[in-house]
Amino acid sequence: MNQVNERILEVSNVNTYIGKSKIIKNISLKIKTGEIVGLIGPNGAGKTTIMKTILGLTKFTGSITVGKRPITETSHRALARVGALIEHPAIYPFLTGRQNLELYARDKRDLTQLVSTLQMDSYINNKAKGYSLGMKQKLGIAIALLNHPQLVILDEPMNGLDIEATIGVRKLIKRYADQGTAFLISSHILSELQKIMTQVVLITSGKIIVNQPIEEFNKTSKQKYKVLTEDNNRAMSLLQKEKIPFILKNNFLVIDQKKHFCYSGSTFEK
Amino acid sequence: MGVSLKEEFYKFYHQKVAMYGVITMLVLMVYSALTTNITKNTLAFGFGSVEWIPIILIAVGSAFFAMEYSNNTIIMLIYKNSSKLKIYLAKLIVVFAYGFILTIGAILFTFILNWLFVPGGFSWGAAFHAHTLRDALMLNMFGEVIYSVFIIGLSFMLTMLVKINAVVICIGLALAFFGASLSAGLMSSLPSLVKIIKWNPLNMIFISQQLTRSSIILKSNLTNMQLIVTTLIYGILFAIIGYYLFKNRRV
Repeated sequence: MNQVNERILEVSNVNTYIGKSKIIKNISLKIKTGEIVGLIGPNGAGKTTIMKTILGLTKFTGSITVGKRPITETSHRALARVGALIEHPAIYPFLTGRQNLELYARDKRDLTQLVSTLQMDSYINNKAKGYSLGMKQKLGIAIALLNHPQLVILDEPMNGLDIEATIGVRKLIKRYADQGTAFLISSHILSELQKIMTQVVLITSGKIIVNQPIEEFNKTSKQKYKVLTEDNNRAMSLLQKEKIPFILKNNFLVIDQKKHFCYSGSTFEK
Repeated sequence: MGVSLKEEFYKFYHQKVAMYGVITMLVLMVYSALTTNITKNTLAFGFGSVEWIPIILIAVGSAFFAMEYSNNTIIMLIYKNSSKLKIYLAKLIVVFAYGFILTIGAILFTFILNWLFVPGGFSWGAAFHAHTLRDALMLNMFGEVIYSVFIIGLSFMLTMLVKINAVVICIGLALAFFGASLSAGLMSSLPSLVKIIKWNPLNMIFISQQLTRSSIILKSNLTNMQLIVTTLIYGILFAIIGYYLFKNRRV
């Protein structure tokens, strides 16, 4: 088990470029042992790019350390104890679910336990090419959780999961976090992670606009406008342009009331 | 490197395309035995396997690399490994080992087909272009192994360059069927430039025939040693370019 409050991930002043355009703008982030950090933002906000940057998959400036060891685009030694699920599950369709896990598993007992916890026993010995989206997602999560990682990075892990599976995955994440594993989990739906995360990071247009413990976030964000618009995309681009923090929750735009109530006029219909 | 190799062999072993490659080669050799008049030449060239193995390798090699991108497993592969070079080398070694196994299989199957389809069988000690038939088969297979280095390097480079598996296979087929004649045609139509043109990569395809048939030197304009060394250099060069493209490809 990891030492309590040990810093696992430290991201300092990171900028990520794709070609010449800056996608991630000067972000800083810290994650300690056992923390579950939710990276929340609309589609295209830069959540996946941040995760790819942490995994050393993109060019960046600034510094990233995992367990005090630096990550660069060419040196990934610090990622030996990091598990990840980015975009789609990384699965070989010609292998069975079990063979996919065995490819990376150091301990077979760990594998059996994961399969059982994620309720994959009934299909784990079938070829992965026949799996449904939810089954693939579970297998991807299981691969990320193999070998007792220090840090797990999950990109939209609840995609394709039914309610029962979502609850199961949340419980599993909580249990691993209680044992010391740190999590960075992205979602565009705040409520999906609100029950388990310890820290919330809101991101829009490649910038972090909120980074605080969930208790603090819940306290300060009680008074909000919940706005229904005819065109969410247009509304979101306007808010982004004006640098106003917002969250898309159940098709409603949630905006801080105190700071931005003037936007309840002509632009949005309350 | 050991872990990367183990993982790559594991994937390759379970991927159907490797088995299909072996089956394709055996079927084509049997087809050749059934449809052609079997001569010493047929045996020396392993019932056509000398030509088929490179084509199989280009298809299998490109499929083996391209699947990492199509399955999104490339992300896992890159971040879990300390260097991209290890990933690339492991894949290169696995495909080369597969080519070597295909070659051994082709030699053994050539002996079996000679025993099955030729009444009494050709004597392996019989003369064939200044060699015994056995030596000619081994020399041609040696040429095919050298050519495999060239073709695997080319297939990896093309996979990184065009990213579409089917296109890589088509280019491979075009090279195998028209490359050598195109090169010979260029040299005969531009005799003043032969000294330069003879070093073009398409000319290296002659290696699969020239080692046992000295008359081919008139077409390739290269000695056996020049052909062997240049083919290896091209293979390594293609592999290095492929690695450079792989290293800089965004995932």
